[in-house]
Amino acid sequence: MSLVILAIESSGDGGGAALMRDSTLLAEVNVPAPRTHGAQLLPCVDRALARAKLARNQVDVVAVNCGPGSYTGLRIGLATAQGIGHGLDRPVVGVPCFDAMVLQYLAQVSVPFKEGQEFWPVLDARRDEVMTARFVLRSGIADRQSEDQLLAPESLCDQAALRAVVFGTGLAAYPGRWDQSKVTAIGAELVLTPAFLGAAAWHKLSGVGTWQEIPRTPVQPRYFRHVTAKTIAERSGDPDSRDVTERAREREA
Amino acid sequence: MLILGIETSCDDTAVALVEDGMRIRAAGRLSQEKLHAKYGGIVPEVACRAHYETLLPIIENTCNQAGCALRDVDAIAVTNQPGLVGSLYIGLSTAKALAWALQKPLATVDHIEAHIYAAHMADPELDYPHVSVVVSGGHTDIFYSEGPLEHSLITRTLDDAAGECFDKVASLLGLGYPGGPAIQMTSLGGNADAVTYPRGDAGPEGLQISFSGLKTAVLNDLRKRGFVMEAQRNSGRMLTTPETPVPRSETRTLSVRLPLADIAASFQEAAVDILVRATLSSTRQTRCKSVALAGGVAANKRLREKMAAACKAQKNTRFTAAPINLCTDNAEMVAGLGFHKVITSQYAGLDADVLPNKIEKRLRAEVAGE
Ligand SMILES: Nc1ncnc2c1ncn2[C@@H]1O[C@H](COP(=O)(O)OP(=O)(O)O)[C@@H](O)[C@H]1O
Ligand SMILES: [Mg+2]
Repeated sequence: MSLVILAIESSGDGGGAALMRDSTLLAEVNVPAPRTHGAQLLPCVDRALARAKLARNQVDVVAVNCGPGSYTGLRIGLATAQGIGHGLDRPVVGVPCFDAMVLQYLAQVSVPFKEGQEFWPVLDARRDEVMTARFVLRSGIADRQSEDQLLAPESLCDQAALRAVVFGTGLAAYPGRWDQSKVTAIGAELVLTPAFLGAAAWHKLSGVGTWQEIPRTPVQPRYFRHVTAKTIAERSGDPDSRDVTERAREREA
Repeated sequence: MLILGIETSCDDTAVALVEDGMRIRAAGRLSQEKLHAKYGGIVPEVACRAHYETLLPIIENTCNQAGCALRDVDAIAVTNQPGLVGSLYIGLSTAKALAWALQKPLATVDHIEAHIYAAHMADPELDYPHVSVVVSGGHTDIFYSEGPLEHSLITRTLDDAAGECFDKVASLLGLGYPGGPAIQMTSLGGNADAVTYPRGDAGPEGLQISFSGLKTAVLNDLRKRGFVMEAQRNSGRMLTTPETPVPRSETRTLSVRLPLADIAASFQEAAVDILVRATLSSTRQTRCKSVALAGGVAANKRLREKMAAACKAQKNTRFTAAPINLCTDNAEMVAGLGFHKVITSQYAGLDADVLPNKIEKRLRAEVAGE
């Protein structure tokens, strides 16, 4: 089997697009500046395709980071991926952010890890929490052991196995709160690349023969929190008398 | 030429297929009104999530309805300004991706210009120049329009938009959200002369528009009638503006029977008068012989009637209002205006971005002074 994967990553500051033939990277183009996905993501896709010397209809499947991550960034990626999939009549698959992050971490650090080693990729979830999930190394592959979850740094350190590796941009959000006597907090600079998102997609699709076999289900974003706006009922007695829209607009600005 | 139009700038997910800027082949729209009702206003994050989930299915439905495939479309038009950032991005990202995948030209459209174009769609004879009055939930702008894509601002509200004012007053009266249609319904049979609410100062040229005084006058009237708390309990929200806080003691006042129909009708009359006055001043100032009315509030029956009569009375000025179904947000107007961008080769690139804030259109006075 051979699958041409168009991978789209826009869940964080960086990202862009990559083209893979199975696990081989053909081309990768990153956005020129942080948080410019809205304008620059599609040009990345276009340039990556040109560098890979492929035509649009040679793409077999579109892979996209389905979260968690920045809500607006994720949705720009998801809407772009679904639009391309729809336009090219190809399936779109969602790749969980942490699955790709672990893959990238393992590929980029040279130290060999022992069987059973634990990994916790972390992203800042604000309000004193990180988003994370637990992975364990089994026969050279990081195996997911938990759903995505929200944890305070301290509870993560308590729950993790001794010397578990905690990595990702979430580390820097809470300096001094990663108990180094319990976990190894290292690799705060890891920013997920489109290529590793593509690699994670290939892992996910490894049992698939052709793109026709991939189900056409819309990709659901993994939001890590419910909408926090207060309903009218919750607001009665709220000293802030402004309209929710006004408040939200103010937050956005 | 068949254009696919996409509109997601606020809380409506809308898609349309329009031929040559006029003939509507199919249209689909999903209003998020019910999703936002419990919050008493639009919550951007709720809007974005819903847009993402519903946009592609609506595109598919609309194509099926028209009996065509996406590849039969000649170009794609999408609203990229102004509006809520996250909402705009769903429409723009989807439109860009579809256009790229299908190798179709893309045009980005200004939501306010699209509203104006809705009046043109129902009235092909509407000619330029004309005065365009855009009254909606977020905008109250009057333009001098010289073409579908050429508008210069004559005047704009100093504070609240007309629709916002309808919504806030409806909320004061405990009528729910959105308030415009509710006020219109409630005003039926009411006496519009029952209360004389202020029409505000029109300024030396008669162009000044302000709705905050009107809103405050209704609030004060209700307080005089000892009604404020009841209204607040009905709608569930604190309706005072920060400048006019209601003292705690007052909010405990018990309910009183209110002549709701009279108050709604009187308020509506005042709001309509403010708009009619500024419109007539605009036509006088620009010596325009024609007026087009559009935007969500243009669905208001009393506004349409009174504006039509006032235009006729002022030197038989020609008057057109957007058809009721094209007043609130829709994609027909986007596809329609998109046609004019496409035939004038004003395409958008792959790197097109959203512009959430209203672009300060050049003032008419500045244009004239050049
Ligand atoms: N019959 C009506 N009378 C007055 N206002 C109305 C009527 N119908 C709708 N509206 C108002 O129109 C606004 C919605 O218009 P729309 O063009 O969708 O707004 P926007 O795009 O600015 O959010 C709301 O404020 C609503 O109350
Ligand atoms: Mg509108």
